[in-house]
Amino acid sequence: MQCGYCLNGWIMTAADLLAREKKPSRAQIKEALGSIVCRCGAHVAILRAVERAAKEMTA
Amino acid sequence: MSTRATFLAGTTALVVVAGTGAVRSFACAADAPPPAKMTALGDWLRMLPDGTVEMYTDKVEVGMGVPTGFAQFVADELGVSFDHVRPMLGDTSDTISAGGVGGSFSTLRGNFAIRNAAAEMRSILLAAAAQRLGVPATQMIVTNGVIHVTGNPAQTLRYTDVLSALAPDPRFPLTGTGFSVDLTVPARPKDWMEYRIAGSSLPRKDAAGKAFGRYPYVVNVKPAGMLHGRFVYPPSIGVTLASVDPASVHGIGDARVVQIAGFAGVVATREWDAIRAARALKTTWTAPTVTLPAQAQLADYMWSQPVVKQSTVKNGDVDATLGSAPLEATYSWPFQSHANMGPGCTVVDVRADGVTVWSGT
Repeated sequence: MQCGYCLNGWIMTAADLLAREKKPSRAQIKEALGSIVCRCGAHVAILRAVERAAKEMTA
Repeated sequence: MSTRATFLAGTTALVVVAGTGAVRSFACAADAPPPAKMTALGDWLRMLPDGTVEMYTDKVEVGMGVPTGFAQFVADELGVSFDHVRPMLGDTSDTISAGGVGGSFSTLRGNFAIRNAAAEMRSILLAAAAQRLGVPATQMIVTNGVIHVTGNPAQTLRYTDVLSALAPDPRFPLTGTGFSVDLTVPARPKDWMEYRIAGSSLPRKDAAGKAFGRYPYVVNVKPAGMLHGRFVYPPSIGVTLASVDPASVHGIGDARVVQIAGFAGVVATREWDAIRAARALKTTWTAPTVTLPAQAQLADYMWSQPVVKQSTVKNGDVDATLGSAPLEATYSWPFQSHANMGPGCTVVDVRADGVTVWSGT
């Protein structure tokens, strides 16, 4: 995360996805987050974070 | 906008706010500006009555964690908790210009001044404590802002207990420019081996605010009576504005056209009206005098340009080492440009007594 302006957008969107889909596939995560624009290049780490959140929230 | 010099000359400078929090401990006479190349310790660090340490730096946070790293140094040097150090970033009327940020140099080269300032603040506060307790400062250790006397656990004092005993805001020579700006103080920073907070992995100070939508960005700055503006961009490079049709934005809220020589833009009370008006504004432009290479041929175009050779490291004899062994590789690097982080936005507040500008880095 650099400027972080988009960060709460990622979190809100990911929370919405995880509320609907407990174990989303990477494709589903990409689909859900596809409309968020970030120019610092944190996307891959964000995808991993959503996967980790899904795992920990269902554990 | 007031320069730093006029700002200092016209106001008071402070290092430590004692007592009520409103009292400034040192007044700098308006007719006697501080000597050039001298700066108050309070230009770097200020301790508030509740123990919070405000840390002033021209660095800003765009992902490198510089304010967090600086705060770790300050916490270690002073012996206060990391949570009590509050970074105050990037305000040009309130911080010493030390090169801003760039090239990931900020923590590497910018830490000297802030560490020196913290070491000196610690030294001053311990001297005051030494006087109060009748114990030499060398016998004191500080943890979480509490001064302990070695060998006598009952004898403690808080930094905040001695704030009011502080002498007027001391000034120290400022050396260097840009990233090399340093503050020359009598106190010496600790050996890095003594650091406990610096070097540890702590959450970035800006992260929670950004995650929860509390971190202020330029787009959150809204002076009273502010108008929203939008540029109207030329269709390509090398063209000049030929004509503007103000009638084309009639009826879009209170939007109106701003035309200054070759610049065209719109302003409106509501942002959405400005956006719509910028889209609706009819403009004509002269034929382009310059063209850019086609995107598909960009790599070829770049290869065809004059080569500027730059050597950053020269170590050993490459030709002799490689000998006649064939070694050939071609690397292509995408064309990149610098651009500011966050939404491109600048807020300008023009008042009779000065102009304030908020902008991205």
